[in-house]
Amino acid sequence: MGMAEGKIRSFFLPDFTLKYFLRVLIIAGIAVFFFSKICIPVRIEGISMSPTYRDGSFNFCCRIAYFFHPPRVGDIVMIRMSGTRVMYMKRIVALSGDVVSFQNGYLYLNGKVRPEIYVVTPCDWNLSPRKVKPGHVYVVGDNRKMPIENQVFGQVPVSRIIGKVLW
Amino acid sequence: MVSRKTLLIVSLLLVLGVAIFFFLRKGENDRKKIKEKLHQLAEIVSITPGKNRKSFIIMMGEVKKVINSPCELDIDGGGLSGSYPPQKIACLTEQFQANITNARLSFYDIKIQFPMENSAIINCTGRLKGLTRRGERFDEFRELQVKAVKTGGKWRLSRFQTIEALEK
Repeated sequence: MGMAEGKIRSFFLPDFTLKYFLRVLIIAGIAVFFFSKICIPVRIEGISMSPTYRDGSFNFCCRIAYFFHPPRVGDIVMIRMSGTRVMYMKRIVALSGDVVSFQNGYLYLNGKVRPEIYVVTPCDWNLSPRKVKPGHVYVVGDNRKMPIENQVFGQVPVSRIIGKVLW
Repeated sequence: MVSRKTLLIVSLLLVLGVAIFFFLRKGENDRKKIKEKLHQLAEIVSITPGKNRKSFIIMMGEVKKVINSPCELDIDGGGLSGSYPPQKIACLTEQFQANITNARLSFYDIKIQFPMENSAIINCTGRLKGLTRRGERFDEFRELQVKAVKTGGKWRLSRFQTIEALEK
């Protein structure tokens, strides 16, 4: 009992020794590295990915996701601007070399309709076919309710992809 | 007794350290001044519901302190392209503010390079968020490349260009 009490006491009220400060420094260093280089916290603002991701919700961007495999169709990714403080969140709908288009709101990939279960709002988008350039992917938001001219989407260099959304 | 060799090594390391310190600090003052100009511009454009709107004369004076004459604009989506004097930019800002209840312009991830003396290239993300008088919310952000020039010892912003991250 006395030993357990001592442990609890030393956990909450530690002695400020050099060893303690070193431990705090190492943990803080690991946390900074992890949350800035491996798993970036993300606050979602806006409705372009609605209803999959709600405005104001919270997530993480996994930066090491594409160390093991290249980006895939269906992945939700974070796209950097000049840095990582403000980023786009979009879904990959086509890869390099694919021909993508929209007809009456339906996504066509290489001439075939691609079912999109995540799109729940009515959509009337029309976009002529275009081939995705080498080293690029085609990204679109899940919310197709807004007019096509108001939605930010298109092909983006893979180098701009910071990582994949964790969940 | 410290040997002469050790003393020499320590002195060399000290000199090297001081040189690295000054090399890294070089341009820091200019970086700070350029960032200050961007923040001043953000203050001019931003408007909050409680804030008194500035008269055109005051706004023009503030814009002249920040914007070079002329200033090149190539802003996709805003329909702004060409060479604009500070008066015109102040006029556009006033027109913009007349149609909104509140707006906040912010610059993020500011990276500054000095390709030549008295000239700087700034890469940043500009974000404009607010509410129109008709009650519509807007939240636009673009990657920007801004050019700044130093004339008479003062930095001024001389070009704004949007960089399209996504190509439809």
